[in-house]
Amino acid sequence: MDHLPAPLFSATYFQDPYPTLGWLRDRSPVHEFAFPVGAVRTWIVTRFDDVRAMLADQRFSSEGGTWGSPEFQAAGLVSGAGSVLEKAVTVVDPPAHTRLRRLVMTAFTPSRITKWQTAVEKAVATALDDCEARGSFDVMAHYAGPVSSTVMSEILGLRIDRHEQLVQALAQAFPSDDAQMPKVAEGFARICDYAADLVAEKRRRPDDDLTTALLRARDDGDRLSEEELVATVAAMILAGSDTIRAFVGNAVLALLDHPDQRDLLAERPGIEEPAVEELLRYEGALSTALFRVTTEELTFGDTVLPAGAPVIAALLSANRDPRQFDEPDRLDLTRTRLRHVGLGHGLHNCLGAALARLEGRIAIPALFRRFPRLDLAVARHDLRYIENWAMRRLVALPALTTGASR
Amino acid sequence: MTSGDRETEATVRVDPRLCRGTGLCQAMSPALFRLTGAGHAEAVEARLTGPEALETARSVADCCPMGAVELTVGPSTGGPDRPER
Repeated sequence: MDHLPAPLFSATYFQDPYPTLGWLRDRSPVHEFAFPVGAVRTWIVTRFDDVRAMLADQRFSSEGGTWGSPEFQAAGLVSGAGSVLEKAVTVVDPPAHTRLRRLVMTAFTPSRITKWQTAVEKAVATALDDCEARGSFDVMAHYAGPVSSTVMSEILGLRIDRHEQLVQALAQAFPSDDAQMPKVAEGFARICDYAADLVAEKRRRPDDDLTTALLRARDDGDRLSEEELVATVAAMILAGSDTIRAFVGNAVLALLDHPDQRDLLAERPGIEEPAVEELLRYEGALSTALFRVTTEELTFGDTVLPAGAPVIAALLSANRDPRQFDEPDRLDLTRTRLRHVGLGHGLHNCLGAALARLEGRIAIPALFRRFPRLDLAVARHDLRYIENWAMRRLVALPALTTGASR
Repeated sequence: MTSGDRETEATVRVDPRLCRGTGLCQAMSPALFRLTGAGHAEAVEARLTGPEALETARSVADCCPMGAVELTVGPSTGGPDRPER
């Protein structure tokens, strides 16, 4: 085959990206294509070693608004452009990044993360009760979604009435239906508004939550400005909600697809932690990292990248690279010393990684423990993925608690 | 030795039990940290001298999502050539 099995970011690609990613790894590991929005010249990097090297190389900047080519900026591809999110820790370079990340990490203390365990367990138990009452349910809408948004609300200290509105705003910011795309910006704006309200509220009434901890975060007399605080809280809501929903859905499907591994998860004590690492490798929430742009003309592998070139690191592809993993398409919870890029790599690797692992470690096994006969309620080939180039998420995962197959 | 001198020396170490090879340390400072072939991080040199290197290492330790970077400020402790106290 001398052409791509499916064009990048086409409808066919979204439903099954793996043949295309495999072809790219073998034939065109640093591949130029026209990004669907604005037909901007863009490159995608698909091999594990290259993805890791690129994400560790500071000549690949996260500041699209500073270094991106004029076409890239004109096409509106700078994340958070024109909003407070342009200042978020996710999209700035050092030294601003170092300062922000240090301040934010002071709020992510081990004792705080330990406390979150109770919040996760409670959210999981409540969602499981609801699913059990339903009998047949959608893992995405009735389990992964409620768990991720409840935990996020609890951690940030959102009032319960605000929680429902946040769920709606998140649905708007991360639509499952392509027709809803024009409303995405409004969803992002609503989340920034919630973040601003939340910061104002916690300033008036401090509590024992992450927002208050961020308000108080200090580092050698330095602290977050009002704008940075709002950007940080908004970025946490955006980065920590839909990703968990996506990851739990992908992990549940991976285990339904691999009954032997599902049995292993149920039977082997202490396997939860390595299991989460393998599930993050096998199919994490993110297909790609956020855009990087080159700060100068540079040669990467055999490819010359012009200055300002948008480059995409294909995390999903790197984690299935046979150059790095034996039988990468097989889920094997017993893999040891696993190093993957499911939570990114380098400067911008997932800041909430400890929380993501905690939620996965609790929520994924709990579902199978409560419903040992869990089974798909639809044919496997009827499952659909959202049409989003950066996020790998099922639209729905209908399940029965009374599957006959087990 | 005064406390001022002490703050220009430190020992840096990556705890292999905590490190998940996120690459943050190497990306922040390739001069101080590198990834091994197995994908774990390690300090290029365990002993650091000079306020600049210390400040960089402190930033990296604060930013590591696994809390795997340990910085012990002060002259070398432990090991066979530990001075008598």
